[in-house]
Amino acid sequence: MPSSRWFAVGSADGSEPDVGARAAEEALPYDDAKLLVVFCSPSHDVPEVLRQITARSGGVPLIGCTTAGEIATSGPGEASVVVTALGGDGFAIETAVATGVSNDLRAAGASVARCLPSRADRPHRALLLLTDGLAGDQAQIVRGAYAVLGAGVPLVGGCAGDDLKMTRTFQLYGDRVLTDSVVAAGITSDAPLGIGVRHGWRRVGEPMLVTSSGGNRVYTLDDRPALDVYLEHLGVVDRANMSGEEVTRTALTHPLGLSRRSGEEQVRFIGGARFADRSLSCIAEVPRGALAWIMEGDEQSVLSATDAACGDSLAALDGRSPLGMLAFDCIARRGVLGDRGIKTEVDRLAATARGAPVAGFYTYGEIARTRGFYGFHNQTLVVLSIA
Amino acid sequence: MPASAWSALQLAEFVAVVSEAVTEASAALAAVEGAAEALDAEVVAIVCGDELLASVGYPEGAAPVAELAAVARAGGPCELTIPGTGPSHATGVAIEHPPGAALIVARSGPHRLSPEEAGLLLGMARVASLTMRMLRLLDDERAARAESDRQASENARLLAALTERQAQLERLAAEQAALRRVATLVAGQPPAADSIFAAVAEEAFRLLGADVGGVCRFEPDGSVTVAAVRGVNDVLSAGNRNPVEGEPGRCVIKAVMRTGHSARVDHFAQASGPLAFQGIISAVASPIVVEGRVWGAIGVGSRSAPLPADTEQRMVDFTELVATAVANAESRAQLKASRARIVAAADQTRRKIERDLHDGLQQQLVTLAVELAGLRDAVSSERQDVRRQLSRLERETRVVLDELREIARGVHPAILSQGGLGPAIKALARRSALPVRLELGELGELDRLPEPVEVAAYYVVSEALTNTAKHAKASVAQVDLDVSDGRLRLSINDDGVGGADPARGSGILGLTDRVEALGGTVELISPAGGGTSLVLHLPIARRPTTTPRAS
Repeated sequence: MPSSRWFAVGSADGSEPDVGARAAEEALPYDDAKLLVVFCSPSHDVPEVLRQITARSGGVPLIGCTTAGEIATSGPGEASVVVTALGGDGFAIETAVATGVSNDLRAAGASVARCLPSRADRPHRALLLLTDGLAGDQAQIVRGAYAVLGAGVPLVGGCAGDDLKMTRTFQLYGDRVLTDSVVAAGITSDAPLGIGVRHGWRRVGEPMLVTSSGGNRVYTLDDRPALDVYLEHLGVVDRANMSGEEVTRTALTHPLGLSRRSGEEQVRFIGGARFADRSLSCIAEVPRGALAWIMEGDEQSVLSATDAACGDSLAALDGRSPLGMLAFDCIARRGVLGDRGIKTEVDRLAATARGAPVAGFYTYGEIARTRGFYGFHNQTLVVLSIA
Repeated sequence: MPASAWSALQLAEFVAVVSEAVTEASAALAAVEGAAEALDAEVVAIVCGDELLASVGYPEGAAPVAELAAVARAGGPCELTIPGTGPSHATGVAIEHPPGAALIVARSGPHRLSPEEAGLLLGMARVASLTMRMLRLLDDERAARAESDRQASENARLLAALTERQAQLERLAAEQAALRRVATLVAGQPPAADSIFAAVAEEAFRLLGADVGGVCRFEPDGSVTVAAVRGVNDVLSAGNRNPVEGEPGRCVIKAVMRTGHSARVDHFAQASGPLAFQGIISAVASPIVVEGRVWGAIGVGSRSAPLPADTEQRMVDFTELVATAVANAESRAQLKASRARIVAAADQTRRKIERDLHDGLQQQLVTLAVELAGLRDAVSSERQDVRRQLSRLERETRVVLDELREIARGVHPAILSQGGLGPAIKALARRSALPVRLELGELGELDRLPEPVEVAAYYVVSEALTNTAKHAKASVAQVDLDVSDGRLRLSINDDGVGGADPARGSGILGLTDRVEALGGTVELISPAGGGTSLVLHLPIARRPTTTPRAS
């Protein structure tokens, strides 16, 4: 007899046939699933994977996205498919999609936020968002959702990936494969939903003043071309001969940190440089007038953050045990941890979950708003624990 | 980082974000979001009295305006319920613009705003206020400019309407002027129907923007006679008589003939009739109704575009003028015929009287005189008293006879009947009390003119010489006669005092009827002190008339 709520994860490796069907089969032990969340490597034929999953799940609401690496209880994966199912009477869930979102990200966030079921008998609520991190300032999506839901509803989620190609990511909604979209699930439950967010980065060197920026792009730091100032601070001597790839690789482990009241910096992942005007392109807005530091981390600090994020999410469950965990882990942390480090990280996640299944993916940006106003992050681990 | 440096930095970021706003409302939203971010607060709002200008932290449309207004009124730290968190620390600070507004902040957690944060909040309130005020001014200016643009466009619309009205007025004025020109012709003397038709065709054609215009008369046999035409000279010309072969639905003239109402054909591909192949694509015709009967029609046609919808209406005035002209012409023709009949009847009567006098009374008097002479001679010389008596009777009889002859000559001069105009004028000259010089041109002794012409000319000369002798105080009169090109021109001039009034001499006035009945004119020129000149023009040969037929 199933409990009134259940959480199951199925994963399948890409080298095996029918990867979508097998992952779905494993994720659906019961027939009263309320939501499927799919994290799929972009190396697959994504529409085919989705067809296999929906063939198994039928009309169960589904959201999902492509990744820069997947996370399952068994460990981090590449070219795999991870399917998470939430089921049972304890959940009431609705999903929504917004397309063509780069025209108006804020409106897209507001639009999908309205899917949250209005259920007085389900006091615990959260909006799960999966977005196209390449579609512009993701903070606007979070602001749009916050404007609709207010402070009473936590926001959680991440930006889809494309294995660091940085060209195009996909969002999944029902049987549709979309891009430039936001998909969301409004989750209400009769048990708590806990969210933790940590990054584990620290400042290095002197701060830089953002003297010119527009949206996600930083044009000048300290009144000089942003790329040059950034590389100077990193001590790169041969700046003129750096390729775009080299800059992106370097930036992956050296994000910008923006000062915040709490003392915890907002970390800004640098996606790349534009040599024409020697500007830097970030995944979210870097406001003019902000003070920015170059951040760095190491395995130890990043893993400490993992523990802390898991701990925070579990603490929010009011002492209940988690049914499962969803992890939205920044691709940049993976760069710092390396292959061995990420295995360690997922092991720690699983250990913290106390045997509950874990699913997640490596993201191009993370969403977590539990308190305060700000909810879009880079270089962090966001953990959603579901009791 | 020192708290003050952090505060300055946050304020700088806040300024940067809020200053990007382009409207007062978007500045208010940017301010509440910026403040929420800087102070890590869940709820930030700007309220003004009971009006919410912007807020974050509440579900859409569910901000508790009254609670927020209460925080604003409290003017210091107090409590506010944050959704999902419960009662929390809240602070409100007044902002200068809009007047009476306040910026309210509430955040979860145990900590009230630190002194630095409170200072930052004041700074942000000031920045928000300044920005919103500036944007309000800009909004107002934008609204003023929009209003000004609206007014400018309204003015332009009015101007366009005025121009349109003026164009209409000009069009009407042109129409009126055209009608006036035609009307002048209609009313003018001498009334020439041909020129009226030509003028109507011209004006209608020009004014209605047509390529073809014409006036035609309907004949009893169903054909039409072209009275005037413009634009299609190669096909139709005035005086042509044409059968109308088109169907009423395809030929405007036929339709008018049938219905007596205006007709229009706008699809000339299906048209028939005399103009169907002239490239005309649109035609309108209107009836000319004379004394209740459809006399004919005015038609216009266009080769470029359909004629305007009001064409029929605008043609009405022309058709009425033509109808008037036709009616006038017909009346004049009737009058002239009537006068001619009267004059002819009078002349006949005069001739009969003259003949009766000559053959009857005159002969009897001659016989009486001869018999009286015979009787006198038969009376014996002893009865001288009887003989004297008879001689006196004979003389008196001859005086009566002479007087009778004179009367008969006045009634109808026998010399005119017998000798013609030349000898008759010479006889008048001889009898005149004033010396008369004659210049009779090439009119020979035996040249005869139509009798009504001779009679009219004779009486004009007779009356003129009598008047000259009576009133002109002239020393000489001159009579000039010229007959050429089918016309007679006669003038009687004198060197007298002038100033003759045609109304005074009823004789001349009476002759005018006779002359006009023959289609001629009499003109009196008599400036004071400048002599008098009477000029007579008479057509000699009766030519085919071009005036409308009288029915």
